[in-house]
Amino acid sequence: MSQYIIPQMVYDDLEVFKKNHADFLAGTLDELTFKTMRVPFGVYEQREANTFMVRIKLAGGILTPVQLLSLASLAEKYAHEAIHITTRGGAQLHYVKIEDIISIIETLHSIGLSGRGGGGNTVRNIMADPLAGTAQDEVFDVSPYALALTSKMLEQKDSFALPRKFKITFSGSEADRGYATIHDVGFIAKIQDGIKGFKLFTAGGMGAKSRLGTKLRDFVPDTEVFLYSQAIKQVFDKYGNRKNKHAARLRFLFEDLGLEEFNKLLEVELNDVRAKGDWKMEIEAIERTVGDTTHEPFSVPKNISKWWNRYVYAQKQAGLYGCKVPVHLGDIHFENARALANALLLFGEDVLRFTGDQNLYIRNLTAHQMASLHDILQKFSVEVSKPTLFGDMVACTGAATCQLGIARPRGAVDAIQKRLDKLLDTKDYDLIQGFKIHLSGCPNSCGKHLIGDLGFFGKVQRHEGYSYPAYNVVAGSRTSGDGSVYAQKAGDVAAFHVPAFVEEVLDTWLNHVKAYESFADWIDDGGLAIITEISKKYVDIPSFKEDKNPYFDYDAVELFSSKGRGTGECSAGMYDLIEADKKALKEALEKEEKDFELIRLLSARMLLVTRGEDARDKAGVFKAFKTHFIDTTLLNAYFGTILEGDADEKAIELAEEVMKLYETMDHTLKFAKEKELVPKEEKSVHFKDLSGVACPMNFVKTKMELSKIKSGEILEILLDDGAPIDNVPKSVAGEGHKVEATTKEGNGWRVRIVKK
Amino acid sequence: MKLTINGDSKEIKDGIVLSELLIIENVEMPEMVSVQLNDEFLTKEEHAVTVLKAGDEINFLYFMGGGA
Amino acid sequence: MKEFSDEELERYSRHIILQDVGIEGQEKISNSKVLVIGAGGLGSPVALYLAAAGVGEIGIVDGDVVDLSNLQRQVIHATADIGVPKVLSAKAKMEAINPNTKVTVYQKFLDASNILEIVKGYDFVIDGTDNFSAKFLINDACILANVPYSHGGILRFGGQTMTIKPHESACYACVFDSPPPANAIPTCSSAGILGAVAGMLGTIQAAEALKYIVGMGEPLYNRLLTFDAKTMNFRNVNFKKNPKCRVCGGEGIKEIKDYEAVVCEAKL
Repeated sequence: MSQYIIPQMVYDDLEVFKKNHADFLAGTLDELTFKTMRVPFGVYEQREANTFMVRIKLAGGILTPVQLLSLASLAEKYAHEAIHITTRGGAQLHYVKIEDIISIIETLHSIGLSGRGGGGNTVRNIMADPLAGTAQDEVFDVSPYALALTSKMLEQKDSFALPRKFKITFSGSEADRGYATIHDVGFIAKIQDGIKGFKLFTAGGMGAKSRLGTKLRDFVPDTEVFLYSQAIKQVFDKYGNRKNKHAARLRFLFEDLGLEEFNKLLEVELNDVRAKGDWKMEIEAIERTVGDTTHEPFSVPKNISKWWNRYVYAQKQAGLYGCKVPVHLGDIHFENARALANALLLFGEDVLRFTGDQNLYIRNLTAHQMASLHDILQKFSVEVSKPTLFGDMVACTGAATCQLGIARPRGAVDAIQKRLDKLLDTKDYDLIQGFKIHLSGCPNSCGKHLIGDLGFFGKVQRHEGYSYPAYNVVAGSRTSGDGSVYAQKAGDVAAFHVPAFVEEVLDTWLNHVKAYESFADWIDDGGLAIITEISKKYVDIPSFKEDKNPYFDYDAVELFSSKGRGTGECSAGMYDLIEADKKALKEALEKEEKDFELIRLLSARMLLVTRGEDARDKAGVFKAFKTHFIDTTLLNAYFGTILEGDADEKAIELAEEVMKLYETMDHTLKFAKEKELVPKEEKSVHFKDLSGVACPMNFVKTKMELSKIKSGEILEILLDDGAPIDNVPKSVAGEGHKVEATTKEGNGWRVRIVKK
Repeated sequence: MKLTINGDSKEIKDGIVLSELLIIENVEMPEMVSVQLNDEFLTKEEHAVTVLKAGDEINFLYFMGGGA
Repeated sequence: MKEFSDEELERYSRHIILQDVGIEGQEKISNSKVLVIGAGGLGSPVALYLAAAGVGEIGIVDGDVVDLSNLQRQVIHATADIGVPKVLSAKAKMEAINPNTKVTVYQKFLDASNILEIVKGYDFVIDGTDNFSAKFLINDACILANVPYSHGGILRFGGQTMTIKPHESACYACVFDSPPPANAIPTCSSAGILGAVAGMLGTIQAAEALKYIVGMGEPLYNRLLTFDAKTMNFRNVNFKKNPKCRVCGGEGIKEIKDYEAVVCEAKL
């Protein structure tokens, strides 16, 4: 069976990498240099120190039983016994030791697989409709295009140093199971005047500022798939925003340029690609070796009929069947993979797909062959024996491992499944076969909440000063090329109440399912309002004193907090909080009898979240506000004095100033004034707030900060009154640094030090 | 004559050779001590023929093989 | 520049406060690799203090298992460890003290066939062995591999130590030339040792290692520190590198070979 072609360059690079690897193990090559070498091979460090994962490209999710067998052996030997299916239908080996990397890469090469461009700012794994080549409704099989385009893209050097990641997909029909409209480049199969080709969408994507792709061409002949992909990539490469990675994806560039300007730039690049030659793509159909396909009469045995009805589907080829195998969170135990691969070896080569929903699909089997796999497949996950609803739940890892995460959706999935599992005897979820519940931990769409029937994305809520995890609810997406719509906002719920909320939504939908063709139809026909109504029951939680449970996220041992979260692409989640405070502040300002204390508190708190602060009480809020807004001179020191003593009408001035500041904030959470402040930072005044840090740790931390700066540069520290101010400056001077000034600031002191 | 032995000043009779001093000082197993005379180490062969003179500084450095 | 975590800053705060150590010195300690040969009377305190100090990587060598008679002085081992390989018992304690330290164990005795390879990978070596053939072998290997090390020896109530910077300061053989004949000199096993003396000398060796790593103070180069715990007299004997030294002198040694093992018959 054809596979993508690994270019010679990759093998050549491996020889260099081998040497680097040996040097690194011997300690003669530094970590950073080694990192730049390993990443192109798909080797990434995990959060745990010294553990790595290896990403493996599977174009269109295609792999053979022989390859699955090899992956199983690698998983057993090197990777904590599991093969992981990625959200782009590729494979990943986790918990790999650095010593084993070379053996793994060599084994992968020997079975025709590579990790090149698995992550980073590269052309990512090219996807295809999971049912490509088998679906009843498809125009033609798109899998060969995913393979051929992967081979071509691997040859291009510019595929690996783009402004940001670049995602391409193929769908075989208008049902758009490859999600063409949420990719940088999406193709939907179409035949025009007897010629094979595609509708071409571009600049779609989910995340901060999600965007549905724009249809760029109504028809592109299939020979021009590479031509267009490469030209769009070149536009992106030349004009994409390399400075700000949060606004770097193609969709931001497209929004800036507009369709007309984009097309102009594209024409230039199309000509360039044509001029370079070798742009026509020759497509070979995937030729399939098959096992025994004599179609004997078959009737589904009773004991497997539930499974058969849920997961097995009839292919467009008469007598052949495909099947979806739900895989819990994308992890396949090597023994299951091995058992399945062994069984499939007899049935041919093109019998497997990994898919972007992190499941496994089996295809091209006779009914008898498919039925024979039942027992093996049962072991893959508990979801195999449950209605599709269970296996179709999608969740990103969330705050459990992701710096951007707010909530922990995987824990929520477990909680939902636990609750629904108890109801299986009384409720027939098979009636809503195919219903998709998707959860993301933040507004980034790693959990694909915008394309779920029912979607959730994490947010922070506050109750009586305590933060707790919550979700925005969205509902009713459609994916079908031109007719695609993202799920619409339906309400808010506390994370704690998600399982109960889901149960009630499903109950309601079960009552309506017979009257509608799809969930999205019901949503459009009044269902959205019903869900909004339901959500209102699940948004409030008891006070912290009454019940602390809702203040903990699922699987979390610590009290929920957004503190320490990275400010990444995901910052949109913060806007919820800011807007909530802003609204409350406006209301407070409009009241006749003004509560100055409240105004002062809301003003000080409103923008703290942009600095990663999550202060719980007034003192904490005021202190953090001073640190981030007064000390940094974002606001005049006068506004700091408003926080001292009792609140009075000056609180209104503070409120107005804070709202003005908010107006100047850009989508990277930077205020206009901060950009002006940058040159001052370059004058090398460094700052560390050591208030609240006792002796001698304040001195230790001062030394740490001093060690980071150059001789002659300035460090300013804040110290508490008393022992700290009595001791630290003396000790610092004793080490030969110059203490330039100590000035009283609030209850403490600001000390200015010139490093010796 | 006055000698400095292991840092201590001592009155020792004139004209002796080093081997005799080792006996006088009750050095256990004298053949197995490393002897430093005025900053120089003496070989074992030199012990019997090195005549000491007033003001010499002598250090006896014992082998210590222990550590466990 | 290493960015120490708050945990590390607090853990090492009493080092960092020292002007001679500071952040830079602690960073050197955290990046250093020290090999401790012998996990016995000297190796115990050395390993404990170096782990506590935050030495980045500590290799520990010993082929023995813990014996009841060891526990009177080998403070890294516990009663429950009897029968356990010493290196494993030591590793567990070191990691318990400081999880930031990486401990590599060599459960073997060193000889001419393996010592150079192991010593080469370290910045500093501690001799905590209990016999002359090992002590001279370590000296030879460190001179050949150009790795500085701390010699240590104890006997009854006394101890001696010196720090050797190969080809710059006097080596062990500059002072003692070559091993004594078998059984001429008693070693601990046959002659006894006050347990605390092992601790006194081992901690001196640990301090020497840290001084060398950080580059502070005056290491025991070209002098032998000796003490007698009965009188508590400490003495430095000064000397110079011997140009005619059998090991590090003009001709010097070119290759490594084993010394005849000086096995103490009285050993229990």
